[in-house]
Amino acid sequence: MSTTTDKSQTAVRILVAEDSPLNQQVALKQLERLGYPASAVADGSQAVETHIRTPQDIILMDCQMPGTNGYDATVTIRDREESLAAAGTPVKRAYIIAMTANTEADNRERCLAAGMDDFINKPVQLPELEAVLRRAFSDRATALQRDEIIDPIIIAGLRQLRLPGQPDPLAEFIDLFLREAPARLDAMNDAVAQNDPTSLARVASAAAALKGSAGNLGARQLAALCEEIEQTARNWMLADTKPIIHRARQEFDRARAVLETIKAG
Amino acid sequence: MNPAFFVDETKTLDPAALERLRKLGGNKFAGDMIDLFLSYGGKQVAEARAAWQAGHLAGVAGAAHALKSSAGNVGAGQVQKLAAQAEQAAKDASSEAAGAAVAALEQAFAETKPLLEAAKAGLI
Repeated sequence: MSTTTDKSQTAVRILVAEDSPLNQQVALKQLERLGYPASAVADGSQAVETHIRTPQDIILMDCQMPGTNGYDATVTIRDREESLAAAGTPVKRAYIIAMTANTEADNRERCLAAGMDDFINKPVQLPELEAVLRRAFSDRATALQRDEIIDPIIIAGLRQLRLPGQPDPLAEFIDLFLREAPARLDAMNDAVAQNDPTSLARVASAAAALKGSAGNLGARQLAALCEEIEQTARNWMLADTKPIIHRARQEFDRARAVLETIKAG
Repeated sequence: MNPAFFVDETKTLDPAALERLRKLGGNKFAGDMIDLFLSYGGKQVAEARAAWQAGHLAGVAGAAHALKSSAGNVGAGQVQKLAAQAEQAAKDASSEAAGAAVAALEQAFAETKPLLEAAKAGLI
């Protein structure tokens, strides 16, 4: 398995939006020194256009630029991400770092309100830039891990089922799954513990049912573990299902954590 | 945060900032950044002056803001400080204070220019 860190550092796309050519050149050189060749634009509307054409992982956004400023550009990018997600198109959220003049004390709240993720003071210094990028990568790694636990494409598809004036079906599916899955896992454990002539069939059928509902919600790893439990039970190896059931329960805990944030957000 | 990373705004020119540019990209890069500051900064100072004369305080604030953030990168501390003052005065809609700050900014830029040119010559 490839390591997430390597992948995120070589394939990462960084855009600098900054109107001062001097600051732009310095930022690009600093990024180059840190190992991230980046591109640059001079105002907010160019940042939005570039991001739409070539999705960026990280945008270093100057707040005050002539024309479209950094706040408005960020709002545009976030609105677009939301409407794409609502339309069922999985979209990778850009990590937006505000470049602020440290004299502007009220800036941070305005940055957060616009949807920015982090801040860096100007003039940008190498150690601070490195630190803010490290935070961005850790956020991105977390997002990748989440995507491995729950497939975002499945979730985006379920979101599309929402009808105006109706309860959100995705939230209902999640609730149902969070009630059903522990009961299925308990049923498997009970069957293994009882070790009677019906145990194998009970384990296999609980695993098959959970595999289906996990798959419907994009919990791919959990579905794969359930498949393994089912096959093991069908091969008459009851005791061997026990460690797999244990792993399935751990995977369910991870899936629950991700699903709860999906439901909340 | 390490205070050494900030420009000493009491100095006309902070050699530590130029040293950081040199370390970052070498002598040629540092020289190019000085050139960029002198041409772009000169334009911003002229823009601030023209905006003030036209009574366009938002234009003064915009030009002064751009100059302020560029000045930090080359260590033009005095320019940075006065640009911040001009920006603030313009935002406060104080035409008189903005005019005084723009005049002081012009002077500081004129004083900083030969120092930066000398620093650049020293890089080659």
